[in-house]
Amino acid sequence: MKLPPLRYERPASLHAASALLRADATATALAGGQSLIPALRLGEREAGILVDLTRLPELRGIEVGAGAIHIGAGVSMLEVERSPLVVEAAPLLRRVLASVGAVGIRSRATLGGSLAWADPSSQLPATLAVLGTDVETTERTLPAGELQRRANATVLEPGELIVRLRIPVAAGSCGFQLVRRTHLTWPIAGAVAAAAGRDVRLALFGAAGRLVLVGGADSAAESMLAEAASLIDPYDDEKASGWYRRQVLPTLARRALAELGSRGVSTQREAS
Amino acid sequence: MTRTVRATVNALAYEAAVEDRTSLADTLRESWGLAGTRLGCEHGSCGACTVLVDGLPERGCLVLAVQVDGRDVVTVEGLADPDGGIGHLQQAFRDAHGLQCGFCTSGMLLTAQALLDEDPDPAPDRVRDWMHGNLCRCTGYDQIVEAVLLAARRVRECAGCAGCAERARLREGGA
Repeated sequence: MKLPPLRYERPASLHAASALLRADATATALAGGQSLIPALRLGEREAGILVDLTRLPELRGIEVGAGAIHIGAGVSMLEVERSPLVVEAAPLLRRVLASVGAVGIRSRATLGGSLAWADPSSQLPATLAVLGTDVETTERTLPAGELQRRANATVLEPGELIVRLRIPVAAGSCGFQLVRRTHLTWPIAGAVAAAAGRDVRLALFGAAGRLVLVGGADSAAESMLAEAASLIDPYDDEKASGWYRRQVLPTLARRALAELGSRGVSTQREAS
Repeated sequence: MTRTVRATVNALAYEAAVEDRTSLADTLRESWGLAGTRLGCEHGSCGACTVLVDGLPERGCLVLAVQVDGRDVVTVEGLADPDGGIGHLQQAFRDAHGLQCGFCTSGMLLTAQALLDEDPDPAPDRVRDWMHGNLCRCTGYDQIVEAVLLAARRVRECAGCAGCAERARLREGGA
């Protein structure tokens, strides 16, 4: 269970980090390491070089400007959830973060790391997607909902690093539902919804190889539920069967939308 | 690769030559002889190896020793009173039967210490929220929550003992 032999690098700049990652196919970016280090220990991943991003100044900071809250990809989840700016501008994010792992995990884990890890059962990529988050990388800016390609893989190119998240600040309402075995384990499945202005979005996690995201301007709840249901393509893993996920997801989705209040749906039809 | 790591542990300067892959927990135990930090699952699930890094609880098995170069670490050895006796938190675990086999206890104590440093009067639900990342297979948890609440009360009511003064000094970063 010890880590296999590897080389550790702590580049002084984002540019140097990207160069190290591009130069060697076995190089892996190390953010909080709360998923990567266990995976390396368990032999589920391999890395010849770990490129430590945790002290890069370019990945730090939380600021509000131009109608959005800007969060550095390397800020710890604990720092994000405690930021008065986040409490004010993105209460859904704060609520969801409190459900991740434990304090002793969130003290190191980062939002950038969670997005790059692209676990299909994680609540965070889905949450950032429904909030309409833009992901700024070293190469481009893209919507959080388009970052995952498939399970545990993103559209990021070698050496491309997530730098900053831009979450639009807009008054609205939100909903969040999940099932899991214990507070410390990954979700089995869940749903997260947000309404702001005319936009209503619903995302499911643990529903398919990548997150399921539906909605947009003036989306009607029933049509979002139907579209989301058609995209559910669940998987079996050690946490639950695909059959179980298919049973619970429609109800979780309906409850998440119902939390939006008048913008959402009634839960009356749950039993039908 | 081997390199030198220097860190402050329990307000003392430590140095070791470590392999890049060596975890903080292994370095504490094997290089620095601070064997109070326990290793359970070694993949982040159990929390037994929890230590404080710059005041916050982190899993010692998921941090490389090279990553804490220049950082401030507190282990269970650092919770002792200056005279070597146990402080309010440890005494409360003892009095409330917050441990049986003791394997998870050092990690529990560090998580609890970080909570009490931040919130001297935590609500029971907040204690549960903080402690749920540390697994105990003996107690059933109720006594652990009780122990943390008891410790919080004793620290609040403390008229200024040597242990409390020492904790305050360490929190300020004085060595």
